[in-house]
Amino acid sequence: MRWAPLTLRISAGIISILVVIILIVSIIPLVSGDLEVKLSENASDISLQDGTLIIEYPVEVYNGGYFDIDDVRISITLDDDEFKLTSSSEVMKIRAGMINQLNPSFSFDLRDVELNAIAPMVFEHRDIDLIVDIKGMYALGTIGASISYTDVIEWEPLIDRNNLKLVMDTVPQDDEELTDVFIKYSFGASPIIQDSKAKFDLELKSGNKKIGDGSDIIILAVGNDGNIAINLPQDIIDSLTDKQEFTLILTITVDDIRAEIEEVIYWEGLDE
Amino acid sequence: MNDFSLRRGKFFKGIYAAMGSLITYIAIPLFAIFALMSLLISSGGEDLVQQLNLENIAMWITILGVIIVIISFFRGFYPKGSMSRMTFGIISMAIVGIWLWILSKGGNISLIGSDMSIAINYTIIVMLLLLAIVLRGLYFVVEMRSYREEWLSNT
Repeated sequence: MRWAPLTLRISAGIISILVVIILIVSIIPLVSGDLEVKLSENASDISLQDGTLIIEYPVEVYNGGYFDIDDVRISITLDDDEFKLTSSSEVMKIRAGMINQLNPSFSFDLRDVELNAIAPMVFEHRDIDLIVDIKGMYALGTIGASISYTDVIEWEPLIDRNNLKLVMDTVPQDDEELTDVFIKYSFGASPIIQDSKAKFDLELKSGNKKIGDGSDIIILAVGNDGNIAINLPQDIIDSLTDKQEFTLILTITVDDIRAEIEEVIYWEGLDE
Repeated sequence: MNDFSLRRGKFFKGIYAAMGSLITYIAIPLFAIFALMSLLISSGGEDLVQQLNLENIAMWITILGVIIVIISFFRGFYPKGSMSRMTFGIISMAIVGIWLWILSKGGNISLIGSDMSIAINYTIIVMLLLLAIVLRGLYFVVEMRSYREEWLSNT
């Protein structure tokens, strides 16, 4: 018996058989549908903390295969015309032969987004591209897979601009001189920011010239309304009898997120 | 080059080795590729056939397979212990390595759909198979050394 060639031949045969076994044992469970993914009963949760949007997406994964799926990492990218935010989950393991409860969490720091880019997300209904990347290793780390898919999500604004009412008014002055105008506001807030503290900063402009400002701090509820006083110089007060246009710049700060919108106020003029 | 004399080989052993290679490196893979192509096309996956470049792979499998079959004939034709068998054995395994690399697409497959893409990396699997091929190539060296004295005494 010639042991040296026999040993090499057997070694080559063992490696080939091992690879074939790994491939068969890896592929059969995938083809036969032994890998199931479903959303957990406590569905996805979106919250806002200190300027960070946190999306939790609990899923149940049944891995009926023979190998664990290791180093599973899910990345989510929110891609808007104005900004692109990416967040990755922790590395997870999907054990073989059991139902795995996974709770990937994604954090998007909205403070990183520029002021003019964040405003549409705060105030407008938008279609945002959601790009999901899932990576993992299978079959004792011999096979790596990466799946990427793109979907469009309908983003609900934190404060719906369509329901945001800003009205400029004066409070009747009996005997005192008129020095202030009031901006009456009313809007509904998304559940994501309800119970959060919101600061309103108003800046009133006539043409390009700032003529006054005011601010208010409220705790956000489902529906919100109030008044913000803006002290105006005398020449502007005097001109309020005339019909004219003002520009109102509203800056809202919620949980360290600042967003700014501009509204044109059509002033009909005070009755003499 | 006494080792390469055609009088020192056995024709039927060459045919036997060539037939084995024909089945292993042409018939089975081509059957698998065409079965996969028809399966994909019947399920509306013509685009996947294009992306996997299956027609091109089939062409290269055939070309390299024919070369492997011819070299395998000479590998089987010459007896154990001859330099000629070793040479053709090593050359055939080198081409089998290239054949495997093309068939396996280098251990990387990428499929891109309209809203989904999948990338699979199985380079380690391919490397293990290449290791097996290297061992089989090495086998012909060890085999020649092992049977050399026997071959020399028979000539």
